[in-house]
Amino acid sequence: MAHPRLRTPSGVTLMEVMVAVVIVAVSFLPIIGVLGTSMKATGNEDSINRAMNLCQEKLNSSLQFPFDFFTLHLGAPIDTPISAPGASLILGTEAIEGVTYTSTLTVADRPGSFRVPVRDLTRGNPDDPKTWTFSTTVVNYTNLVHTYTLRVSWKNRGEQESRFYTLTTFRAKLSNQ
Amino acid sequence: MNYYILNHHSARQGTAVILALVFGVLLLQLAIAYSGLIGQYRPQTEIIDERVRLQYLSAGLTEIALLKFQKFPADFYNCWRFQASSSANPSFWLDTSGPLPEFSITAPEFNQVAANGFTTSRSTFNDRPIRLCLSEMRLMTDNRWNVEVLQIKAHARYTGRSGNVINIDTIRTVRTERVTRR
Repeated sequence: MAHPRLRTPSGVTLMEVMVAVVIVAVSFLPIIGVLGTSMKATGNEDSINRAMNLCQEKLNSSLQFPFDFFTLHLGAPIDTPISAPGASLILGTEAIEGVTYTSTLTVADRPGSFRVPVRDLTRGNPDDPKTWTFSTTVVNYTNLVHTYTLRVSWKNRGEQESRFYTLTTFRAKLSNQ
Repeated sequence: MNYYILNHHSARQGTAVILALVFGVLLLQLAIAYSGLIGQYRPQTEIIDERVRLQYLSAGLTEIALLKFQKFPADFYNCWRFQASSSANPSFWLDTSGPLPEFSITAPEFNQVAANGFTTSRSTFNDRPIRLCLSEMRLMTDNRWNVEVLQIKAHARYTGRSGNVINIDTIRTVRTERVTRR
């Protein structure tokens, strides 16, 4: 005669356990998919952020050079390291954490004209500004303002097309430089 | 006895499956919520990118404005004095007519870019034109001590791909010294 305890079905059957395991495994699939997408997106964001930082760092460095340093290079993309007394800048290709970034600096002249209201000194009371009159003069300039464009391009692993990030700013030939 | 065992067994049957189903539904909800969070992450990077580009461009515009001031300081001071004495507006440096705004905020050299939009600064994920203009050029102190502070403010505006408008103001403050030659 068998013992009653041994015959009490207080657990779950093997079939139930198998079905439950299958359900849980299937439920994990979307999570794994999302995690995979997330990891890939994070990797891409990392490369974008690194390119942005690289671009800012190099553009700031390029602004440390004397204004006239780039006169001979105006309009031509520079993609090799450059240096001047007190300043140096690495341009061209750099490999960071398995991704190759290519930095190119282009300095171009930005000619323009200033519109200047000039006071007519022959008319009005010098001590009473309300009586002053003005006429407008246009003054053209060249080689006083440069446009700095720094472009960083890279290609993520597993991607066919390369990406790029560009920062642009203006620099003027100020009297204290 | 047999009846009791059978009844007890049928009451527990399927418990594991139900628990697994509940757990599975929770995991699915987690996956949906997480994928929503990932969707929001990318625009954040774009916004940072946009701000950086706007900042550099507007900082560059303040450089050009400072150059104009350095080239024509006497004309700026004349414009300032005339505007201060003739304008009824306490914030007369924000006037849109008169010699001072003609020198600064409405000068075409500072607003030409604003009309067309600036497209050189772009990237793989953002190529919308950036609009730039000078929004303020004012003296912060008076001339009683011959030392003054000039504040130049440039404004950059951008409409992102998702339609969100981003505005950046860059302020440059420089110390100036007025020298009178007689």
